[in-house]
Amino acid sequence: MKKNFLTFLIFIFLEVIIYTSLIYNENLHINKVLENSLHNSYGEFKVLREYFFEEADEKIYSKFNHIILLKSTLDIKTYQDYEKKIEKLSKLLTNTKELSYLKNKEVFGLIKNKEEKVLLFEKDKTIISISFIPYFESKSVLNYFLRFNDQSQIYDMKFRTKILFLVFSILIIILLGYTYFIYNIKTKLSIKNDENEELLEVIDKYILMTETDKEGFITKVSTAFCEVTGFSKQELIGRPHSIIRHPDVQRDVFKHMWHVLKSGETWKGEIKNIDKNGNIYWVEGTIVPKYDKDKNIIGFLSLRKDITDKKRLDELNDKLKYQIEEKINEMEILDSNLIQQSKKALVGDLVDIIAHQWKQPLSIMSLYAIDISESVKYGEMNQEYANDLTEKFQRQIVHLSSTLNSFRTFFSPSDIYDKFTLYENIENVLLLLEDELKINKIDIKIQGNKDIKLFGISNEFQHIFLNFISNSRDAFIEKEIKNRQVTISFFEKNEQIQIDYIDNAGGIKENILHKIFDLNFTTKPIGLGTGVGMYATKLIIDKLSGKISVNNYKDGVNFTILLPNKDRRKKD
Amino acid sequence: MNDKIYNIAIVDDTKEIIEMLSKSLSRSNKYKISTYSNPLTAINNIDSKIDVVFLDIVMPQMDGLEALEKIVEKNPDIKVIMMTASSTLNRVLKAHKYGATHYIMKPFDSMDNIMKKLELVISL
Repeated sequence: MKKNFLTFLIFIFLEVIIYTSLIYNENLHINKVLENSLHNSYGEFKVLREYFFEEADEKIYSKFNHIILLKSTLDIKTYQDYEKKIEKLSKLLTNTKELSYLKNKEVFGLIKNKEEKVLLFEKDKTIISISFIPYFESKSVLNYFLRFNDQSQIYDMKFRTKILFLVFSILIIILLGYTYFIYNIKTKLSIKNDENEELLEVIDKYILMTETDKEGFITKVSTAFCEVTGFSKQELIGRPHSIIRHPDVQRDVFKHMWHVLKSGETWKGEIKNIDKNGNIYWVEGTIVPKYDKDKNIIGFLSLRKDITDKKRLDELNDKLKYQIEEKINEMEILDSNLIQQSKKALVGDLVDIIAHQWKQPLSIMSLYAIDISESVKYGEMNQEYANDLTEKFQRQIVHLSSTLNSFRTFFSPSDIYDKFTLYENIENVLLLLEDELKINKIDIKIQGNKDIKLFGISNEFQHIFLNFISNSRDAFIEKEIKNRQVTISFFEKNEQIQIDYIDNAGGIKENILHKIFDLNFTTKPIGLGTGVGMYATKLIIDKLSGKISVNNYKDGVNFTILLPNKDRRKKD
Repeated sequence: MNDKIYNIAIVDDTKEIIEMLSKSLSRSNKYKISTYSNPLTAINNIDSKIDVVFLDIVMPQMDGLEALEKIVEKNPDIKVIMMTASSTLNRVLKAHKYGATHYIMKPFDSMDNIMKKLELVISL
């Protein structure tokens, strides 16, 4: 905007100058024509400039007999001006015989001793001086003084001035426009140059850039590259690019890189390098071939990014990942120990249960033992009787042994994942607890599809039910509940298996309900609870990617276990 | 010792125990044995004809003590010998309050002891 205004001002200024000079030139010409013309008519004739009246030497005036003053010469604007001019006039009047002034087409004589008198101009009197004729007066003056011939010269001149003015104006416009155009382009170019320079500076400073010839000898390097490699530009230029090659990087990598580059393609990749001091740094590089006019490869341009920090971060991440995995493993071992611990916590209970389990066969066997002597005593003993009794003994021994086995299975730390039938799994637990349930009159109902199979560690799963039932039993006894009922139901639902364990042992206080799966949490009196059982239960369920929740339901508690139904094969 | 035949009832949910105990007791020809593997039928069927009841303290259908209470309630003069394991010994004291006369331990030690206790109970 400012520039436009400036251009406009320059244009106006130049126009004024041209106009003035043209007019001045024209006037000089007119004066000359006039002088010639008047000279021919009136003898000696001099046209003086306008300022003559103000500044010309008074002596000059004395030479002239007749002075014609033009209107503008006498144009009085201020009083001082008037005084000055009157003074001058009076001087003129003393020396000059006649003084006239021009008005319209007539020349009038003028002024005698400060008194205005109209003197008619007489043509035969010699005009010796005339002031500069301003443009606007020239016509009347010319009309008056000049002959037709001379006039046409003036008009030609005036026409030429107009044409010249037009031509100059157009030239100025063109010149200014051109200048402006050039200026704009130059400005833009210089901005672009500045930007480019800035960019080049940035590239030089921050980008690891190298250029090589087609044999891989360095021809150009950026400062950033020098900083990272520790070499100076002088040390690098002319040397093969392999100067920064790390010995660990396999030859195949470079072989492949050269293959890619020589076929005219761009190579991209991460590469390990070594600096002047033997330090390792990693770069992510892009290498492009450079071509000459005939599209022959003349070298390669490589732009690299230092990714050493990123690599270090990656390494750190890997390390962290490894450490976390280790910790998780440790935790898993800890958890599996906890499951074992939880089982051990049930040892006391289970020894009781074994005692109950064994009590019956032992009682039976004691009667068989008694029967040996009794049958002999009553003469009943014979080979057949003895065989029968032995068989009966054996049957009880097998029972004892199998009971023991099922307990041993339960206690052995197993990590064998296998398919097992949920129903059988629960049945086994009930078998273990047969007498315990009998003594405590706990009635357990199992409802559900007997074909449902689970995938996991069978005895760990038994542990869950053993723990539930053991807790229910304690609650039944503690709260002296009469009609002791437990229902275990299970069914498939939306690709999940839901197991519900419901008892009527009075439930769990709402304020501690959310804590029962926490480690070391127990509701039992000090010394009785271990705080491991429910935690271990949750661990076992977690291992099977399942969920366990607990609610109070009617006059008891309801544990709900949700297990994924399909293929829960553990990955590791 | 008179020659009276005594009526003995054995209540136990284990058929082997019923079998062996009744066999051993009947050898002396002094006792007429009736057996019940379910305490509920035992309560319904045991009447004043029965002199002594061998009653298991732990049964799935009904608690031995509860059965004892019912039997004694129905037959106030009846004599009951509780059969108990060491783990349920504390309940014997309770059984005594409920009207049990004596107890024998499971596993059984000898027939002599059982007979002695039975004779003692009958003689009371």
